[in-house]
Amino acid sequence: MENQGTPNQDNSNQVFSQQFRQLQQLPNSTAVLVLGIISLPVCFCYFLMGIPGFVLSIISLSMASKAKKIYEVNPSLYTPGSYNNLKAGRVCAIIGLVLNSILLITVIIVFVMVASTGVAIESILHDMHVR
Amino acid sequence: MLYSLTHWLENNMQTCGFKKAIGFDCPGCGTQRAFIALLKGHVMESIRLYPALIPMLILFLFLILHLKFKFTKGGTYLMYTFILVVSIILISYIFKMLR
Repeated sequence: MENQGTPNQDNSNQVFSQQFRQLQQLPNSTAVLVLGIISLPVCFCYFLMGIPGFVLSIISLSMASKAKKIYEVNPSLYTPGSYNNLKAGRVCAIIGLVLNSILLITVIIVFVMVASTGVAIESILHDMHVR
Repeated sequence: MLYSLTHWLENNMQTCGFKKAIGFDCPGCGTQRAFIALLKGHVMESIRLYPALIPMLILFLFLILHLKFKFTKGGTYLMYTFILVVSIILISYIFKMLR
């Protein structure tokens, strides 16, 4: 960051500085990736079906959109690895969001069904021949 | 030590909240049984119980390695592994439900 744009004296120095110029990590790029991946196993864990994964993937997506805006202002400043992280994390978060919302919608539909009909879930499933 | 961990896990299995509330398996049911089978060394048994467990563990291992060593293309490979794991989960869930 400090060397950005400063003219160099001779050619060898320039090559050296290009090789070792400190490219920055995009802010939050690894966090986007980690949250996007964690949203998958959290999706199936436990009773708050779909809710934690839903929240995690939405946080990840919002972070990704912010980081993408920052990247687009000056793409040459950041490492390609961190931009890859960002893209991958965004895709993972979208997949996680879809899975989690399907699960959440299923749970909500079933609870509404049970609450509105007053019939126990086992008999509904029996009628549907699920079990 | 591994034996005691396996023993503890076997005695502290958690019921799936989804299954308890709704009545049929969720896409994650079988992970604990598969993990215990894997700890005991029965790899085929583990794959039979939950096929996506081993790819998922590989995904996490790769994620930790990626966070430590920062591979340039690591994010992209992680994304492909993630998509693979998700498709294994969905396909095995569909087969489980149809059976």
